[in-house]
Amino acid sequence: MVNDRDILQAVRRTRDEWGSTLGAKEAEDLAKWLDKAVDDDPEAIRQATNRVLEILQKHPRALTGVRRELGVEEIEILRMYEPPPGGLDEVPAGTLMVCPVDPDHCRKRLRQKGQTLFCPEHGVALVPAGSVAPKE
Amino acid sequence: MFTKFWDELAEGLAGRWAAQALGPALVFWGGGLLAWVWHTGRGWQRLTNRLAAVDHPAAYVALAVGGLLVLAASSAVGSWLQLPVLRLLEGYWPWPFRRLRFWLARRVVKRLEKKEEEWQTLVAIEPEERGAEQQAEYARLDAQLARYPVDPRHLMPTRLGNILRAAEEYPLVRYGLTTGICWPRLWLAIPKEARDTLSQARQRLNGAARLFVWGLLFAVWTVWAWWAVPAALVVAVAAYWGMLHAAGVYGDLVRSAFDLYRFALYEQVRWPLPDEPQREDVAGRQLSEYLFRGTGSRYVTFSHPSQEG
Repeated sequence: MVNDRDILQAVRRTRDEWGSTLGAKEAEDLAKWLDKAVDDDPEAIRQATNRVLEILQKHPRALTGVRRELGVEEIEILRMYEPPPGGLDEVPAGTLMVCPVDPDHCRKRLRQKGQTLFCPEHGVALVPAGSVAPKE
Repeated sequence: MFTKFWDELAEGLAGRWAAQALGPALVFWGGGLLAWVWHTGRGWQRLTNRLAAVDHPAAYVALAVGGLLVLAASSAVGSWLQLPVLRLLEGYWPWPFRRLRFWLARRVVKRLEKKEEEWQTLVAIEPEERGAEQQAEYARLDAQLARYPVDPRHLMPTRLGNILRAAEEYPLVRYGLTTGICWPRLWLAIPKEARDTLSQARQRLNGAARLFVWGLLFAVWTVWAWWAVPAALVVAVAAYWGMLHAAGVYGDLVRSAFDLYRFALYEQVRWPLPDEPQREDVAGRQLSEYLFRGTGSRYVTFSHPSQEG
């Protein structure tokens, strides 16, 4: 597996071949994305790599040159999954649960499926609000 | 010849595998050497003098090969220990401590009940009436409670254990699929990219467990240096925090794998797909029973792709 920087470096090293392996428009696009890949901005590098690979996929000869430079048969990118750095946004609460003995005195929201909520007064498991008739 | 040997050794050690697998062992033995030097006072001088006195190149090679073997062997021991240590840190304790496990788990239940109450209080306020702080607290509690199993019987005595147990419980609660039974089958049915991502996340968890092992082992150098104990504790605590984060990520990915690819499992087993979300757990439980026990298929007909449409 190779990383984004290696790929972009390999593409840069094949610049002399672009005239014969790519069309003028693609060569221009490739140069544009390589310029956008600033060394200290991982997101810019990642985005540029994606676009560069997209262009190369349509031009097998150019892709072969990059593979040769990288010394690999297939270009596999090693990208580790990372969760977003922020916290969880608010998610609407689950089903409204009520006491089956008296639906009006105890009402709680289900946080997760599989959870069992109890009525502290009657000691019974709460049931979905729609499944109990209101007390007369 | 000797320089070339070191060059090649250094080149090899610079590899990713070496850095990950041998790195902690190297730090451990390096730390041991430092502790010994610290203990003896003039140990470093004596060591370099002795090495300088060796004039045969073969002795250097033998020393280097021996050192590498010790490094590789101790690294292998560290790798073997990572899984038992991970399980101990999860809360799967052997017989004499089993009661303690369940006693501590009951204490976790009490703590969670309090958090649940706080969440219920916040949820009773209409979303548009909640202030920014209340909203943030609501989301924080939601995220925190989601790291614990919903069934109190599944609770573990440690935070790490609960993070992983919550992820294992999720497919059963949501889809009726038992993780221990369905996971190996699902693993074979999911695309390579997803498997790679899961493997990387698992490797990160294992790596943190390995670091924890080496951190604890570092305490043996107290025979030579008192500071080995605080150093060991710092590494072990940092490794445990690393494990918590890695377990959270791994757990999220396991959940996601079931969310996205569970139907691939049904299709590969030629099991009829569940019709609606409300009844999915019934189908999942049947499939789990069939895969584990071979029973539970009485009213089920295989659904082969050629027979569809």
